[in-house]
Amino acid sequence: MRKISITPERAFQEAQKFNQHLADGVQTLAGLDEVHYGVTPKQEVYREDKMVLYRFIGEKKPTQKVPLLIVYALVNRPYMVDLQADRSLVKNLLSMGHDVYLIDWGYPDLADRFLSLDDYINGYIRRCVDSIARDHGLDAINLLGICQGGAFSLCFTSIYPEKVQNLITMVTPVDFHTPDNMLSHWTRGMDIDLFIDTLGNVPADLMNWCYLTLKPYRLLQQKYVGLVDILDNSAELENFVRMEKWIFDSPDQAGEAFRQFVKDFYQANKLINGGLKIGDKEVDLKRVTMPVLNIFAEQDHLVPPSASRPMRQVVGTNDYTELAFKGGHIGIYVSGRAQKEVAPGISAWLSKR
Amino acid sequence: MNNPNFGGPWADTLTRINRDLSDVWQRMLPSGSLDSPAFDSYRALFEGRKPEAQSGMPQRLMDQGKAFFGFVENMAKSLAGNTNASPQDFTNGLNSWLGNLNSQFAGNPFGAQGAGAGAFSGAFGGANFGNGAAAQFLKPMMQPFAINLDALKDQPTFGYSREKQEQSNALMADMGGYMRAMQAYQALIMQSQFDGVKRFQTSLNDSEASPIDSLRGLYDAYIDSAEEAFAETALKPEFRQVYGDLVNAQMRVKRHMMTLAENQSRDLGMPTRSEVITLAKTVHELKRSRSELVDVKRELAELKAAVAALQKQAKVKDAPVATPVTATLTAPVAKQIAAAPAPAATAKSTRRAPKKA
Repeated sequence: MRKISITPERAFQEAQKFNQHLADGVQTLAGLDEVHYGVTPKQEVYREDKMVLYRFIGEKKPTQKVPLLIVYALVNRPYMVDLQADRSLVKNLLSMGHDVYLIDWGYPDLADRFLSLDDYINGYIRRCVDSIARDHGLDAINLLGICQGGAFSLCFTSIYPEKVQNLITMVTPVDFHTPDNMLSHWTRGMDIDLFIDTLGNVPADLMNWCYLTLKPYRLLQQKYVGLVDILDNSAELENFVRMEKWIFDSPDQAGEAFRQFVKDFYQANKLINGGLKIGDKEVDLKRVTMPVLNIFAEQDHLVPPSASRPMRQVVGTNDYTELAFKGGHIGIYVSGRAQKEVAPGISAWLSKR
Repeated sequence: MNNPNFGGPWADTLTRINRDLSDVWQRMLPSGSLDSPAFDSYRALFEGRKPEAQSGMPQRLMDQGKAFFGFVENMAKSLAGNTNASPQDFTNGLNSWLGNLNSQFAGNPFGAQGAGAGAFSGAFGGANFGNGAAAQFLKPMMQPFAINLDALKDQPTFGYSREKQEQSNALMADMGGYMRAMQAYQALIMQSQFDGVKRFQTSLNDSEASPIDSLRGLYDAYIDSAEEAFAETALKPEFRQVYGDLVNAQMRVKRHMMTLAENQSRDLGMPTRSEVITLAKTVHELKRSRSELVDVKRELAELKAAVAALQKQAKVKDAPVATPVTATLTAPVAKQIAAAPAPAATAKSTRRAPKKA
């Protein structure tokens, strides 16, 4: 029998403390300013429709000759990579001499409903890469794809290998049919044509609800009970609120791109099974022959390591490196450990290539 | 499942907890009286003083704090009269808590009829068929038909409004399908919740498991069990089928509702969604054409520059003293030039001077 040593007195003290934290929280919450994010200065270098390409400005000039373009997912906002001063992948990379660019996809509306993966990958990403390469007088640049943006980067690199010098992927799914991939499991029973033909774009609220229900007890309940513990700490509370803001700051998803992503990636698993086409261009991951660094999070419930690791078997490169991060899908950007491991890991890997 | 022998140290604890809650919140409130259990006062407090920008957070906090305190209260009630509480007593406390919160969002994240279910259906664009606007909208249509909804789909329709009646029938038949799909989904969720409690009970009987020395620890252990049980259910083939059926059923209903709304819009002379989508498609095609033109324009400019460089080079070659020339070509253009039967394409570089540092 499990040892349970909860005494009435201890329970009372615990309840008393919990209650006091809540009472303090009223004051702390009332005094909390609007939270901000995106701390690193940046300049717009290219714009097309709602998409904007930014170049970050570091405190010193970049020392690395080949710039690095971050391709973020379409879900959620890309400022996760530059959330706050002490939790910023971008800031860390800049401090290591990298020249960092980022694609901000914006918020699609009904006018963007027909944006397809062809538009995103052969259109926006290609023109961003070309724009950066032109400006730097280079043929190829470094690409850092995150989550769905990692899958896009893989496709892009396979189609245009001559434009990518080194490919880095973070929390990127490749095998969508692993037994522990709940999100994929759920989407495979959906009639995605009916879904998109009905909804047009996929509402952000629906996406958020779906993500929350992957871990309903932790994300809808326990997380907020735990919040009580930090209610008397305005700095921690501010971090919590900032994270909440990011989590629920979600763009709607352009319908056609969503349709193809679910059909070809989640349902048909074409990155593994083959047969994927983006527009009229075939994706063959054997053409990914440049060095590849694949970073995944060991406790990731959205992109389990088992979904990411098979990249090794499908890419054509002989120079493949894995970096397993002890943390989750979000912690890989914002945790204290991430600040010490992720950007330094990327920088060290790049510096050898 | 309260202990009939209410009394003893746990009962005393419960009384003290409620008194303490009341005391603290009484001090915090500018005015007003408080009832026990004291969590009811949270709502009044937050509603009275919440800053607009953060109204969601206190509400969420309040709900979850209430959930946890409900847990504490139920545990204390279940253990009242006990001097040596057993794992079964703690499990009884948990069951009591879950029973009390049966229809609340906090107790069951999905909710039998609660916010979870509402959010799920609401997320599909307001198609909440519980008590929402959609239900009100459909009520007049539903009332005359106290028959099997499925049968409506095959009912013949006549006369001037035949087409509209057919649409209404199809909508109601699909609503029947949606209700069945939702029931199947809820049944699996309830089953996973039941399994979670069983798992929790098993973990309390596991002598190898880490000791628990706080109510929070007990609560966290329950959450672990509930989450594990949910994951097990959610990864079953049956859940995939039920989840897919639910989403598909909801989409079918929503599609019918949109058709009805569109018909009404058209009758009122308002732009319809179909028309907006047609425009969106046209805009998209125009954007793609524009992007292709921009690409072609850029390639043309690069080709022009390459040709100019070659012409210049040819002139230099004809001159008495040859001078090396570096042309500015990007890789694709350079390849095109190299592939062409040009006689003197010797100057080639794919690296250019940067425009920016």
